[in-house]
Parts: sequence; structure tokens; C-alpha cells
Amino acid sequence: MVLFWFFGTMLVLSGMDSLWKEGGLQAQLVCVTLLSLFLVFWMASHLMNTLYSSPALEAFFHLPILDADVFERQWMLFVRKSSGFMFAFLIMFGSVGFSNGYDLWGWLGLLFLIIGQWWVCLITAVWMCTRFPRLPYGAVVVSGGLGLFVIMITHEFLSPAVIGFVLKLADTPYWIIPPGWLTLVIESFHSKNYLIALGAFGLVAAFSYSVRFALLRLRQGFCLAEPTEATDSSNEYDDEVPLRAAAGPGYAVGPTEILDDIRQRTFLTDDAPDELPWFERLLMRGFNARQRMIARFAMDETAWSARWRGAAILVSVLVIATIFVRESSWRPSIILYFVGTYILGARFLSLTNPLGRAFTPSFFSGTNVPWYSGFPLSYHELSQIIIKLNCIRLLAFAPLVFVYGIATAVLYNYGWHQGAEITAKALCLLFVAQPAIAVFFFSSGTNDTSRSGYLSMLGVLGFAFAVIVFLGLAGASLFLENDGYAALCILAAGVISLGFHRTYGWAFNRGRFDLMQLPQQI
Amino acid sequence: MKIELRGISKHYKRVRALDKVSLDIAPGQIIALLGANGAGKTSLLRCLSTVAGVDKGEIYCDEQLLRRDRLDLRKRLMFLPDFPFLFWDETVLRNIAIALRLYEAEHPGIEERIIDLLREFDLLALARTSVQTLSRGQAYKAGLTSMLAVNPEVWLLDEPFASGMDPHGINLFKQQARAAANDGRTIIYSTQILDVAERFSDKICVIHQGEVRAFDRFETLRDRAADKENVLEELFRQLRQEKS
Repeated sequence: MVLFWFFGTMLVLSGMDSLWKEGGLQAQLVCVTLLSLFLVFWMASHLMNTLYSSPALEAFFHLPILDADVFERQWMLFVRKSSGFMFAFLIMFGSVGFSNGYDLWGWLGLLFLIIGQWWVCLITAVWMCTRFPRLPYGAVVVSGGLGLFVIMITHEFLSPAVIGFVLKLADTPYWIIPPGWLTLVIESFHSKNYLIALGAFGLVAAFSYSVRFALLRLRQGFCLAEPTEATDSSNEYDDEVPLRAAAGPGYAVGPTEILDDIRQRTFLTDDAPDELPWFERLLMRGFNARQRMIARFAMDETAWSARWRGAAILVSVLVIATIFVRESSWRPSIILYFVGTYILGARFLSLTNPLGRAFTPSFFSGTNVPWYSGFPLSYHELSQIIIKLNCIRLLAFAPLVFVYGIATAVLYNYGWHQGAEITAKALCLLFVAQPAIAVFFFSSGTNDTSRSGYLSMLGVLGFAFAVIVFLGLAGASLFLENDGYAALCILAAGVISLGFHRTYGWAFNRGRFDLMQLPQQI
Repeated sequence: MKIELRGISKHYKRVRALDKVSLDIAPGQIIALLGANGAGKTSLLRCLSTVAGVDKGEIYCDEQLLRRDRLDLRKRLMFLPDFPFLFWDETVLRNIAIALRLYEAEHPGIEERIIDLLREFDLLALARTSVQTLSRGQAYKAGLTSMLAVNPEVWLLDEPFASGMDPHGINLFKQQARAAANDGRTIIYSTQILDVAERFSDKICVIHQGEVRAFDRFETLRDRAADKENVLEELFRQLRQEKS
């Protein structure tokens, strides 16, 4: 999480700096408004989860406690946890302060505005949850985050389009939405038109007063519902369930068939490989029997062939959109192109989730333990399977990514060969990154970063440094024109990735981490 | 398999779970781990199963250092927590197959053993049923069946007597464990039930605040105790008084 915020901060700072250079303060303020709007959705998602999906609610349901008291508790929990968002506002407004060379009074004013912006966004989130409780906030946050990420990392490549889009927004009344109000204050201080600032503060004050009405509505609609299904299958205590299951299809098989299944050892064999779709069959190739069994049992039950087909159709649509954009001034195709890019990106990024079930935590004795840790499976064995699966998936998706890369290059008036070259480099980087990516599967369900101490601090710092160097080399390899140097950068990035993988494995095998994690506070 | 724990310590952040624990466990024994809540029983089992890493000290199995990459050693021991490691969306039989294949214990002749176990644990008719539709006790039996089918040299069980199993299941487990111990296997289990520990163990290991306070046969503990009728109760009373 620390690294997520660290790299997120770096991305926002670099984006804000570029915007300042290209579009000045106005562009920055538009960006602040857009990012704040994104954070509003994030906050709203948090609020909905805290009020309606928190595991604590199930416990409260069984306790003699009033719904109103639970609401107060969950609301305060949300406010307390939301204060963490202040950091994001600090980064955004701080970037404005740095770019414009604020003096002490300017910084003090900004500090005031940071708290104000957090408050305005919080209220906006509350109102949104009140008015639109059915909006898929979580999905908006994920796709918005992905969109921001794509914009940030492709900034150099898509710079004119992104800047142009932001500058166009600057000419619109973007400040009409609440997250834009306090950006007006900054603008008014720059233009010495203090009346606008006064108006903005007035709006914020009225908005602050309105929060009590929003909360009243939320409170009225809040009631603890009886849990309808167990959140954790391991908590199933109902002794009647097997009787119900007896009528189900699984039980339709009689004892004779079960005995035959065991005696003929068919229960020990995998499903026939010929029955698998082509992509899944491809994935199983190159594994020995044990690896195949682990991959089959432990990998996510994802329809990879269907996913590939979907991506292929999407790429075709994107290519057609490219032709439209190139040949005509039909603007909606740009939107189509970007929407398609996000969806394709989401499909592509989900390639890195190959062994979901093996890493799914089970709850026992007060801790969450990933499934693989209960069995004699080694780090080397599991990571080898992950890397192999990912590489095969990358290979299968490579033609689609090539077509997409070339189409994008042509769209932005680069030569097709440049698009092909950058795509090839990006794919090479993804290949060499696989050993490092494999580490995250092990790392995510364990407590390797929760132990305090100089060694763990050094480990985290070393890791952060390695990631920075890796990203630097990756960036250099993408934009270096000399192919020899670019290849060297990719090679060096690969060495870092492998080194990280080996170092983690060394510590893993020596029991430096516990393969379990205490449950998060609810 | 001979197990040696040499001065193992384990902390969870600032909480001391185990403190310089040293034990020599000879093969063919049933060891009952006793201790108050949070005494370190489960931590000991976690360390033995390599789920948790030790901060200090070493664990040796047949005089070989136990590490996570020593699959040859890890295949000889199996850990059954209070909620077993099962794929809850898979059938009972499928879960048994996974365990057998991961432990490479699918040797010829295993079929009849599995049928017997399933039948005795009343799971035969439910063998093709998804584990998530089973009751807690039945799910535990499914995990136990996997362990008994694999038949490892060291059984590590966390609270098997508080697992929701019915009396028949518990009796069957006791029979199987005793037979396995007679066959040279080591069974280490944690429990809070003093009567069970007294009657169903070759040695009792009492853990208190991460330290081993007693590791002996029940008879030896009784010889040392003032109250011969309530040996373990007295021991726990003393530990509580010491704590307070």
C-alpha cells in the first residue's frame, strides 16, 4: 500500500508538472478538479462499503445495539479513514504551490484549501450516496484509476491529446461541480479578483450546512439486514445443509459410481486435455504432470479462450476506429478508441492473476492463510508455474497488442514501424518483469512487510529503489532510439526482476516471512 | 520422524508467541499441546508446518534442518488446522485427490483405504458433494480423511476435539491416531480439554506464555503433583496464579 501511494504520488506530480509547463495554472486546476472528482467516487465507494458491506455489520446484527448507533459508528469510521485522502489533496495542491512558487502565506492558504477540498469532496460523496445509491462506485474507481494510469504512463506518447483535452476543459465551466469550487479561490487570488473567492467560500459554507440533510436521509435509510449468506464458506455450521445437498445434482451420483470412480482411480486423473478450449490447452502445454495438476486445481477458472476472442474483436473495432479518425473528422471515434483502450487494458492487466485459488486466503485460528502454504509446495515450483502461465498468455495476446500498438501509432501520426517497435519493447519488458510479478502473489497474502525492524525497513527501501531503477530502465528502453542501448536496458531490467525474485525466494525459504496475515480491522 | 526444536522464538509484532522453545519428540508418540488461550500452541504448530517462520532457533526433522524449500521433509508432515485447507467449491473426493497428489501419496492400493475412510467417516455418499455444502464437522472429517489417506509421518492437528466432529468421528480419529503412533508416526495436537489430553497422549506439553513449562508423560506429571486427582487442573491453577 505504501508503494502504491508512493508511485501514485510520483505519477500525479509528474502529470501536474507537465500540465503546468503546457497549460499553466488553468490546466493544473482542471486536473485538480478531475482528480478530486475521482476521489469523490473513491470516497463514495468507501462510504457505501462501510455502511452496507462491512463485515462488522454481521456482528452488530447479533448484538443488542440500535441501528442509529451502528450508523454513527460506521459514519465516524468512514470520516476517520477518509482523512487519509488528505494526502492526495496535499500532493495536488502542493504541486500547484511548487509550480507557482508560493511564499509562506500562499502555503498557509493552500493548507487551508487542502482541508476545505477534502471536506467538500466528503460532502459530495455523501450526497452522491444519498441520491445515487445504486451507482457502481467501485467499478468507477477501478476503471477511473486504470484510465488515469494509462494517461499518466503514456503521457509522453499521448501528450498532445491529453493536454488538448485538459485545455479544452479549461474553457468550460468545469468549476461548476463542487470539487471545482475551491480551485476558483486559487484562480481568484492569482487574478486578484477576491469577490470570486468569497462566492466560492459561500458555496462551500452552504454545502457544509447541507450535509446534515444528506446524513439524515442516509440515517433514515440505514437498517441492519439479516445476513442472507455466509461470507466465508468455512463458517458453514448448518447441519441440515448436507440433507439439502442430498437432493442436488452432485449427490445424484450413487455410491456405486463413487466406488467405481475411486477403484478405477479416475478421481486422481485430470480432465481430458482435449476437452479444454484451445487457450487453456496451450497453457497446459510444457508442464509436467505435477505442475499441470497444480495449475489446473489452483488457477482461476477463467474462460481464457473467450477472453482472447473478446480482445480480438475489441482490437478489430479499435483498428476500424483508427481508420475513421484518420480518414475523417468523426470525433466520437476518439472516445470509442479510448474506451476500447481501457477495456483492452483491463483484459490485458488481468493476465497477471493466474493462480487465484492457490493464493486465496483461508481463515483459521484467527489468521488468513493462503491455501498453498498448507501443502508441500515450494516457492520455486509455484513461481515457475506462474511465470510459465503468464508468458504463454503474453505470447497469445502479443499479436493483438501488436495490432493495437501499430494502430495507436498511426492514429497519432507516427510511423507504423515505430508503433511496432515500441509494442515489441513493451512486450519484452512485460516478459522480463514476470519473475518480479510472480513475487507479488506470494507477498500479497503474507505479512512480509508488517514486521517492524531495520532489516524489514531496509528491505522495503531496497525494493522501492529496485522498482524505481526498473521503471527508469523500462522508460529508457521505450524511448531510446538506439536499439542496442534499448536492448541493454531491457536486459538490465530483466536482471533486476530476476534478482528481486531470487532475493525474495531466499528470504521466503528461510522463513523470514509468515505465510499468513492477520485479518484487517473492520 | 524425530523432531527437534532448538530454542525457537516467535513474535507477532510485539507479542511474544514462543520463547526459546526446545523439544525433542521421538517418533511413535502422541503429544498433546496444552495451554491457555494465546499460550503459543497454534504458533508452535504453525512453525512446525512452516506456515510461520521462526525468529530464532531451528527445527530439525531427522537431524535435517526444516526449511520451506525442503519439500522432501515437508511431504512427510501434514498440518490440519481447525478449518482445514480445502477448496470449498470442490468435492470431497477432489480435495482428497489434491492432497494425495501434492504429497505424492497416490500409491497403488490407496483406493480401498480411501473407501474405508470415507465409509467410516460417513462421507462416502457425500464424496461427490462440494465441501461448502457440508457442515463444519463433516468438512473437518473431509480434511481428516485427506490426512489419513496421505498418512504422513507427522500429523499436526489444531484443536481436533473442537472441530465439530460427532462422537463417532472423534472415536475413529483416536483409533486411527493410536494405530498410526504404534506404526511409528508422530501425532501432535492442541487441545483445551484436560481429560482428553490426560487419556489420549503419550506425552503432554504444557505451554505458558510462549514457554514450555512441562513436557512429560502424564504419569510423571502426576508423581510430581500435590493433588493426584486433579493433576492438570492444579498445573493450570499454578500457571494462572503465576500470571496474576
